[in-house]
Amino acid sequence: MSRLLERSLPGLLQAFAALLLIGGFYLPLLLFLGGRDPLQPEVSMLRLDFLLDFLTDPWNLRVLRFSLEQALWSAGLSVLVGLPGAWLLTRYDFPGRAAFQRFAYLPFLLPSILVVLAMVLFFGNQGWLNRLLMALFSLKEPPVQFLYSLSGILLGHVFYNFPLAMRLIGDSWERISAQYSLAARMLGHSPRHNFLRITLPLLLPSLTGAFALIFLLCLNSFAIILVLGGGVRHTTIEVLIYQLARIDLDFSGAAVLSLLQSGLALVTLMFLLRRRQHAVRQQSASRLWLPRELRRRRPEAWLGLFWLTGALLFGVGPLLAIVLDSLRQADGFSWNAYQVLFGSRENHRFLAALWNSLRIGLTGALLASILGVGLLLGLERLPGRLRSAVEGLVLLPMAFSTVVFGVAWFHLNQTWLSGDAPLFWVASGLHAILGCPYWLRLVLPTWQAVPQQWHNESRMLGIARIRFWSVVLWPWLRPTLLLAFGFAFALSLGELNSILMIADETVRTLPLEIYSALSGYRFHQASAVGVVLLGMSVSLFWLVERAALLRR
Amino acid sequence: MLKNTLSRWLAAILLPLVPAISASAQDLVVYTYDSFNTEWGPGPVVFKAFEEQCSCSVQVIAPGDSGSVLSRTILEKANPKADILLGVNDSELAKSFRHDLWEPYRSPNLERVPEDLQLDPKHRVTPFDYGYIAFVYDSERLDAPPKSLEELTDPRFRGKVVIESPKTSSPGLSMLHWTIAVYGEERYLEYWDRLRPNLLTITDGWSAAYGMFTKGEVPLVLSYVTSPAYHVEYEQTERYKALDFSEGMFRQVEFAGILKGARNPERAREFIDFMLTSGFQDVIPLTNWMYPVAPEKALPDSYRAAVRPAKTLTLPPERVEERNDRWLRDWSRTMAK
Repeated sequence: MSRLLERSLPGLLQAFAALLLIGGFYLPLLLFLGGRDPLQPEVSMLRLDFLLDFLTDPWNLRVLRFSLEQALWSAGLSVLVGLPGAWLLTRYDFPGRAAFQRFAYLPFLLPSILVVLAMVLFFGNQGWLNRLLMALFSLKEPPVQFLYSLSGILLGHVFYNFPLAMRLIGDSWERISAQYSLAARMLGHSPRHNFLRITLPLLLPSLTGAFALIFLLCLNSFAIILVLGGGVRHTTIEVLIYQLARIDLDFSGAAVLSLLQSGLALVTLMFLLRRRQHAVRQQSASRLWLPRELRRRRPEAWLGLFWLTGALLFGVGPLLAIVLDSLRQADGFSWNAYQVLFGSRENHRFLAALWNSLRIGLTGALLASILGVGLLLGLERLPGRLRSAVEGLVLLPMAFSTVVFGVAWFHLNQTWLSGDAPLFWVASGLHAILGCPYWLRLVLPTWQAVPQQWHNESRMLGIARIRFWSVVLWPWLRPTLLLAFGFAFALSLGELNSILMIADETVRTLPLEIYSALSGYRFHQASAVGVVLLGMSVSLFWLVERAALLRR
Repeated sequence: MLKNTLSRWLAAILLPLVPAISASAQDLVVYTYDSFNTEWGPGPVVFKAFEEQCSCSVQVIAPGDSGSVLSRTILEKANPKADILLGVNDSELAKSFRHDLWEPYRSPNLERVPEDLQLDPKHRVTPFDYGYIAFVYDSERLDAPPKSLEELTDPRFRGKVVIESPKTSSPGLSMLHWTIAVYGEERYLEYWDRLRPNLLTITDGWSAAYGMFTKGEVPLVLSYVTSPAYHVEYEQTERYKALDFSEGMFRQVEFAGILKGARNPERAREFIDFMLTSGFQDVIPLTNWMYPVAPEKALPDSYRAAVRPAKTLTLPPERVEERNDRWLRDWSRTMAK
């Protein structure tokens, strides 16, 4: 029995991955794009004339260029800000290190509107930072004015994404053998040479991977670009797509632009990611205790502290602003918002939404993990070129506008499934597909770093595959798998667009509750729901990590 | 044939482990926009009242804002799930007519509704509430608020105003239409050009704009004349006030109607009748923050903070339908300069 399972499991996993990805994303999309516009049956979905009209207008080209430019800048800056963090996490131990690592999930949990309001509360003209500086130096005008321009967009995007870069890079940095740097130092190379010639090339896959994910995320960004960018001056294609799909109800136009946008994005990425390197790595050396290094007056330890302070101020400040905002009422402080949330009322809508978020998040992350393992096993067998094509296919759901995909999915449900698909599983499946690119990006470098000799040795010793997985691979992959699961979970908890398109009472989640509170003037209550969302996932990750440690 | 096999395949693929909720078990299915049916919205109160009146059950589906509910309804026109669509505003009306969504019905209660709110002579849709978009200001941070759209362009309000984008939000779109109603198609773009320096930013939706306003980032925001009533009712403050602009105020009317192919048209008609009675109308002011079209009770006391415009402006829905694309396009280009 176990033999049979052992032999068929990889195949089953791969089949599941292929089915989920095709049935859940590509089929709805192709059926939608291949047909006619459901609102204007005389028009086919893929209107070439629309595309040509669009591309011959210089104004549109400017919008297109800006969309790509801001995403490139945002991704580059996020990686640049995240890199020292990865170094810090790899090299030093310090009080609160685990909590700091967990902080990487947090921005993903919040709907972008709450992040925008948090940025305004913290960095705005009347925000904490400006009021503090004005009080300190008795100024009349707010000194820090980087919101409402391109720098506001970049600030918002870096806030959102640098923790992701930090974790992605840090996870792979930890696996670079200390022996390399030791050997280099013995050969008389400077630390700078060491970093540039050894560490950086070894880190490259995770750097480009982080860059790619963040680039795609920023391309689809919407509220941040509009509000923090100062209105329509910095408009992007995503805004046009939204307008076409939601206000004009021109689905074919929206679909054409989404295809254009995601196609361009993938081409850009393929160009950037052309060179992929594989490296043999081993477990690194133990970490230094930061407080002691500080007392020893090591300059790099002080630099690390400097970065940490900045990151806390910049990354935690706006989150703290939300927490405080949730405790405010009119001009005073109160628990009122929480009392209203957890108070017993006629319909426990909040608790129901909490439960929905949890179960969809967990199921989605689990499905993403299964999907990821299936893809991992499948990718391994493919020759190089085909492999990057398949990886591109896995990335496409991220690059494609969720507004248009939501419509495509809804259309499929209407015309082919007579509107009867079970929405809980649809939501979980969609979240799994959206979370999978992160999962893969996180796990792939670690997976590829499994030394080939382990496979060979275990085969020579006649160790069964399942035992090899549980005894050798699982301990090696475990931290990364947990991290990937966490990101998929966080992404699902914060996801809004696809939920909006399929939602009815069975799939109301917490982000929807935040929107409900906002639209009913309950701004402090919306912040309170956000805080619950943050608290819930922090404790959940803590539990999961604890459980994983105990097992060992 | 192929479609059938494929759909069975898909149903198998998409893991039907949880039983689907079948709409036929319900007596009445209503589509509405999400904020109508939140805890604090009118939904929980009015639908319960109707359930008691008809001794039937109501299933409410509220996916997203009014634009997405409308697009969803149009998409499933061939196989409608709902009997009633509640919450289409006047700028979306022409679109819904073009897609021929409605089963006409003239409620006997319609005579309670003022004539100038009965915008559809064919009675495909019935109005249930209305309001006016307005600039709301913070009286603790602004001494001399503007008295007109024109004065809003004054340099003393530089960087002090936040509005919503007409491309993504309903009050934003109404504001664009407002300026066209006031300045005409020839001059509205000039107006926006003058207004531009005063706009700190343009948000994607009402929530972001109003959030920035209540968090003190700007003293002037585009919202509704009824917004100050919320603060009086729940926060006991008259700090926030709406401005009655001298050019006239732009009106928004919200409608509901019976969908073609409704499974339960009898109940649906009953609901439209109910919609114009006290059990629905008198709930609207404090939950949807709009004026009811046929109130039986006096408006709540907090509504003293909501201004009654001296002059009302509108645009004909057909003209909006015909010209809107063009306006939005020209507007974005003017603003992006």
